[in-house]
Amino acid sequence: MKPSEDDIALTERAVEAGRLLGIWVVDHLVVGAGRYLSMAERGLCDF
Amino acid sequence: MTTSELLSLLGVGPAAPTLFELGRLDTWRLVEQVGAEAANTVRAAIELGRRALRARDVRPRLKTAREAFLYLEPALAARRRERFHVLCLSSKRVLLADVLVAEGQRTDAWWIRGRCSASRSPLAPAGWYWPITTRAAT
Repeated sequence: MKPSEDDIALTERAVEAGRLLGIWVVDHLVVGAGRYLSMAERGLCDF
Repeated sequence: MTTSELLSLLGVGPAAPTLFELGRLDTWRLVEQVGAEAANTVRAAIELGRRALRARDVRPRLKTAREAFLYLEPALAARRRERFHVLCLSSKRVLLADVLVAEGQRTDAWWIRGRCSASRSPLAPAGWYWPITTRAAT
């Protein structure tokens, strides 16, 4: 499973918004067809 | 449906005590109030309500991405539209809330709930948010 550019952009925005509010966004999972992709495990965003 | 309508489905007439009182009556008083047949049904309905509330208190710990995936997979399986969930976790990663934020493509997403509440404060630093995007299987 490969994340889209939109998925990565959404993750970065969520992480940034969380930082502003003092909330730790720990991961962004993309789920489909019985599989998942973890942005944190793939190192696709600085959580 | 109103409480009276629900009670009437159980065979309880309009002259019955309030729902709160029904839940507190002992068996004999309940039979006196609603009749023997309805008393059993009311007892069962109230007990089911209590058990449903207890079931809601079961909060899994989601320590890894895989555990979060396994928690949500049954709810996300075989969806035709993309959904966006936010899982709110405590500092020990106990699930506090599972919020369905949007459904559909970005252009037609509709907001169902935009706020999560934690046990202390919705914005407490210990709160962890875990966004989940699910994609319809193709």
